[in-house]
Amino acid sequence: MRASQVQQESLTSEKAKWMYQKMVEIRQFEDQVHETFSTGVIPGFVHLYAGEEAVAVGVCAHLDDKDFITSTHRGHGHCIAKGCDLKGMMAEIYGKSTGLCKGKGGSMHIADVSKGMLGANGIVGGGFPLATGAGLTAKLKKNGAVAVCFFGDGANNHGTFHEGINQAAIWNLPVIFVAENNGYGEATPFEYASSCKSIADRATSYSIPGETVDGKDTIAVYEAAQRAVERARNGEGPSLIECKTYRNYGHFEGDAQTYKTSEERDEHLTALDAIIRFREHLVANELSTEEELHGIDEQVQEAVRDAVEFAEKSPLPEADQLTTDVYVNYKSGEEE
Amino acid sequence: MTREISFADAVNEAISETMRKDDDVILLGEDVAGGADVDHLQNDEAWGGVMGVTKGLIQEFGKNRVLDTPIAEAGYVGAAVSAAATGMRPIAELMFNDFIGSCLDEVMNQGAKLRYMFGGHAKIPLVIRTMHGAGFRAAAQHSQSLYGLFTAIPGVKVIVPSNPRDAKGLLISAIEDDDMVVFFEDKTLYNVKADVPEGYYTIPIGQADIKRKGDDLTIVAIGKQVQIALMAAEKLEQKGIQAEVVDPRSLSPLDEDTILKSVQKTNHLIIVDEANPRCNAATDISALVADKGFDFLDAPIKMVTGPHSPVPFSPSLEDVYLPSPEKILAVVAEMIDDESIVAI
Amino acid sequence: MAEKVVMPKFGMSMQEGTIAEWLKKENDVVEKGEPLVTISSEKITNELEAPSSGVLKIEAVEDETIQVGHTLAYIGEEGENLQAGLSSYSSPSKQEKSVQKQEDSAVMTKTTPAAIEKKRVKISPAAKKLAKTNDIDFTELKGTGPKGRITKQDVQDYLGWDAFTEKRAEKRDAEKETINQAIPVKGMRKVIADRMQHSLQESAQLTLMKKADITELLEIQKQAKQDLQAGRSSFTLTLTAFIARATVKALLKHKAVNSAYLDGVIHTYNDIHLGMATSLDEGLVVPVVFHAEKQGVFELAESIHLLSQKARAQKLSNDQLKGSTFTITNLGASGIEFFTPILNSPEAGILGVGAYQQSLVLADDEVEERSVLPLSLTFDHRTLDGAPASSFLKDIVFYLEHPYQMLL
Repeated sequence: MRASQVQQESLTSEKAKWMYQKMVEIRQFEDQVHETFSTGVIPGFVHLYAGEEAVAVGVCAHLDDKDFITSTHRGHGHCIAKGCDLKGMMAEIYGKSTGLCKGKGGSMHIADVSKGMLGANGIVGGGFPLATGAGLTAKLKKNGAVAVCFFGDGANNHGTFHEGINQAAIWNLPVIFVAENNGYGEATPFEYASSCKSIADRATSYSIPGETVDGKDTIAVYEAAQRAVERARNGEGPSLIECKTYRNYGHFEGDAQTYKTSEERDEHLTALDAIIRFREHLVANELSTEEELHGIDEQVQEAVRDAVEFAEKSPLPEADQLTTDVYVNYKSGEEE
Repeated sequence: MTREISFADAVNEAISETMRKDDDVILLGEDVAGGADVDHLQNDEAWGGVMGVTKGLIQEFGKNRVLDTPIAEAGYVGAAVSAAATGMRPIAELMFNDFIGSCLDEVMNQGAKLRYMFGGHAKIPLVIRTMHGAGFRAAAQHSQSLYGLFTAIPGVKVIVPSNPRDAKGLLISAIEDDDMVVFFEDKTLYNVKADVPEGYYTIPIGQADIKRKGDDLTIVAIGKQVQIALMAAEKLEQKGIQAEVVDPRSLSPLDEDTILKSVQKTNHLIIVDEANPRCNAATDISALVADKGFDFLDAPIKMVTGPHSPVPFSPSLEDVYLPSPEKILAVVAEMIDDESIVAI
Repeated sequence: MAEKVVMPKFGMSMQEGTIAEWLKKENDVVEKGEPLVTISSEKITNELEAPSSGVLKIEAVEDETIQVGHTLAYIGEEGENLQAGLSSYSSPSKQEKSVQKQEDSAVMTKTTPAAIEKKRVKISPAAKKLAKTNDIDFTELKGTGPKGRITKQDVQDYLGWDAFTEKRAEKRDAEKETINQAIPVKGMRKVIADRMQHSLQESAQLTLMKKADITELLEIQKQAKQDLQAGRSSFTLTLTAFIARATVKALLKHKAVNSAYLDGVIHTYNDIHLGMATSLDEGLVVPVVFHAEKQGVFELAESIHLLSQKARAQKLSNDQLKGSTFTITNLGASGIEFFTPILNSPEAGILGVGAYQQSLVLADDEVEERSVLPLSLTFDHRTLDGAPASSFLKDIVFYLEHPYQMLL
């Protein structure tokens, strides 16, 4: 691990409050989806990000719209951290025509390419080659952009992990691979499925930096990400960051989470909770005040309420939308 | 101006001419440069692909635009999908279409679906060039014709050219196209020479070409089999049977009108496709005509395809595997109940 | 092995045939292709050739009427026990049974013509479509394609199309051009053309015209219609039914009109089978109300209604289209008054019905508005003369003008 004095200085009050807001947005949005899903209003299935906010926000704090991220099944948090509109997201999860993807993608594929969000992904391990490709574009276009690949501990055993990171490394691409190790790939413990002590250890194989941080410590994630992003922007190639974290809910909504112990859950939802800890840090370091943060809480509450109302009132897609957006154009038999 | 060049050179020209025109066009794949970063290698000694199709491109465009990849298809095909989604116009070479097994997810679940899943807020201007076809003594894992597989996937366009001229014009169209296109090159056609226009030209995707006109019988043939169908048609002419040979050129989108109009005229249809017989282009076209052209038919639709077996290695077996003019004649004989046709 | 000789089917509607004459005797040695027996059916007499060579064993005698497909004779080797020999190789009773079955289903198709469609005929889709668009009953065609499939070429040959016509037509279809068509005279049109010409050439036709005052009849019809509406009827009591009834009544009185001139002989019929000329898009058909003399005006109305329904649905069987003894044709719907109908040969008479008009008539020194129906009777002068024909027409008019008489 490197010293972090420089980064400490760079976290301004403004940035800190933005990060706090995004983390609260994620938490409240997911708690809301959790609640609504149980009423049966939301079609299909959802994978909630609550509990892992520090990772998405700590990393995306260093990115802007020209930077790309790839995501996972558990993508709502990445979307929010990357600036996706809450109303458009909620409407998408409801399958409404006003959703970010016109109701065609749903929870597992929410995307907003204009924000650099290359989509939540229904395929475990799907993000590695995609992030590499986005990194290739950035390198060839020399636009200073970076690509971040968020992936779960489940994906770290997938073949694309190797192909993607190796390729990013040989081409020296500006890609940051961010492991969200929440301890379980679906219901299977990380220790069972992975023949390594930490995912970061695997970076050694590709001769790239790899480090493990407390993924529920927002500042730790923020600092690690800053090092990796700077390295990438400087043309020094990819890095791997493993963030040890925890998901507050199950793999998907409706998961009884029998594989978890009640002790670990209690601990993670209280003492270890990222938002509680970040809030304390901000107040203690005078980056914000209780009043200000309380104001943000209320502001977010209203935004999430608006998102739900927007989603509820939005129309479903018309049947004529079924076969649009498959191709840019798909014509046949024209005269030459 | 046209001049006679090979199918391989036509493909090479299509790539180099589009790369000259558009800086976003890049080529990546296994050994598309060939021997990248080998110090002692003079540039003109680089492979330029296992078949030499992309030879010379590394010299002109440099290694930022002609990228040798690891032998890791998921890695680079997936990267090509995303590079396309983020602003490039990549050409990824999947050396043999048989290798799709290693990167089907990247094509089928990512490239083909991103645009739709994103509600139209993405485009994937990607061409996957890939080699196919039996007759090269390359055995079961390097000889398949898997265009049927891709035709079945919404979000993918599929082109199978049958001659050098079409190959160049269609490949340029494919590179210009804003959707993902899988472009099939028959390895046994690479050395076939024909007149090809100089310079930059396009042939529209989704437009069939009537390679030979006739009133009595329609033969729809895919890729190299167009050449086989033309040979059969010449023999049939000796019997006074005028076969019309239709080359769809693109299987997705498919020019249904041209096929249906031809069958409406001739009332007879044979489809020649060297791929395996189940769920392939031939069955697809057959279903099309049975559905939309039932009343045009004066005889059952016949298909001349490879058998339901892998492509064999031994020449004596592989030759039997492939369609041939004789096999087409035998089907015509059965179709019109005239055994004398077999003997032409 | 013995071969069975069965009653052949000469033409579509033939169900049975009569042995007119055996040209060979029992135990004669016959050669394949030799004339064996003369068969007469309704219309024609045909010779049946021996299907194989051998010794003849006759099973059906002269003047005997045999159903199509049933056994007439066996041809076997000399001294062979023909029945035994036959049964040893293919149980003739079983064969006969299956033939009987086939025949039954053929009879059935007469009553439910839709079943004809279900009969499996090997025909290509293109040929089938061409046949349908040209009104050809493709079950009659012989296929020259593989395994006897009827091909498009077979239908074209039947139509007499040459390759040039065909290609032009195809091109026209493909380009969806509208051009004037020269329609080849085929199918129903040709039958009509031939019949009409034949009728005029072969008989001495003369037409008489007379008006009938049907004012009262129309009142009765109107009243009856209202009564019927509340009752059973799915049909209406039409004017046509009354005219048919009047005609039947007149025919019963003038038997000579219910006749036909055939081969120099005048056949006069006791039964009255009334042909009702019906115009369809495809042409003219004349379905027959059999035994009209046994039907009252209600029965006639129902019979005519059913026939015209079937005619429009193209579900008339051949048997329903022949055997009439007198025909009624009606151009009233077209607004025509008098005309000169052409005889439905070989019948002696045909009644042409025009459109009734409101006319001012001087009756009992007063001008009254009456409904007047123009009638035109064409008769074959070879069969009857003007006086009896006039008398017949006058009687029809009488019945129409005295409707209660029709009920008697």
